[in-house]
Amino acid sequence: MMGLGMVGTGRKKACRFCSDALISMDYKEPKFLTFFVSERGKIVPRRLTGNCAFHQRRITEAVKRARILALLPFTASHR
Amino acid sequence: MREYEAVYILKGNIEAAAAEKIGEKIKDLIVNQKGILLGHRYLGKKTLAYRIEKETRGNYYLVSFLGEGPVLAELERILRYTEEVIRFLSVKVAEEIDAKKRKEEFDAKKIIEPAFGSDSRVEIEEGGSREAR
Repeated sequence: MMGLGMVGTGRKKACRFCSDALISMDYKEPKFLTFFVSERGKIVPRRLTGNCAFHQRRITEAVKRARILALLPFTASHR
Repeated sequence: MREYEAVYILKGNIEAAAAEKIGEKIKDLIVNQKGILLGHRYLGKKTLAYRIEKETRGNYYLVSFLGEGPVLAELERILRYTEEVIRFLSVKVAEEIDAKKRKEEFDAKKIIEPAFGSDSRVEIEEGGSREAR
């Protein structure tokens, strides 16, 4: 698997949430959300994840909520 | 009526009795404000991703309820001044809910409640004496 980085291959990834409606997107599931967050804690951009705009917005919101609840870090440099 | 849910985090070293008391207070509050309590649940004790009020661990609770704005306002007020609560987040889940139907759905456990994933950063500890509702 090529992971999230499909840059330069020219193939457009399909949005995983559009193709599988059963995937839940919940701010209470940090393990799932780490997939959309870089090592530094940044949200991975749409061009890398392949999400559509609609689902990327949901992801963004979920990550931000998880950060408030200290389920995800705001930055990697937290003590 | 709207459906709301709120997650609140209690200090890591809180005693079970104290946590229970806060839970009861919140449940009573929702009922007193003419809201409908859907569920109140212990989500687990976890390591926080960053320190909050010098705490490194926290006990997570989830409360779901139906109601109008004032219920939420009162809940937030209480959570804000309860000292053991180190962080909370309330979220509007849905607008214009059929209260009776939703309550039945919840009671029939048609609603699959999410469980915390377990990874290195946020591992779940067994709740022990605390029951998960």
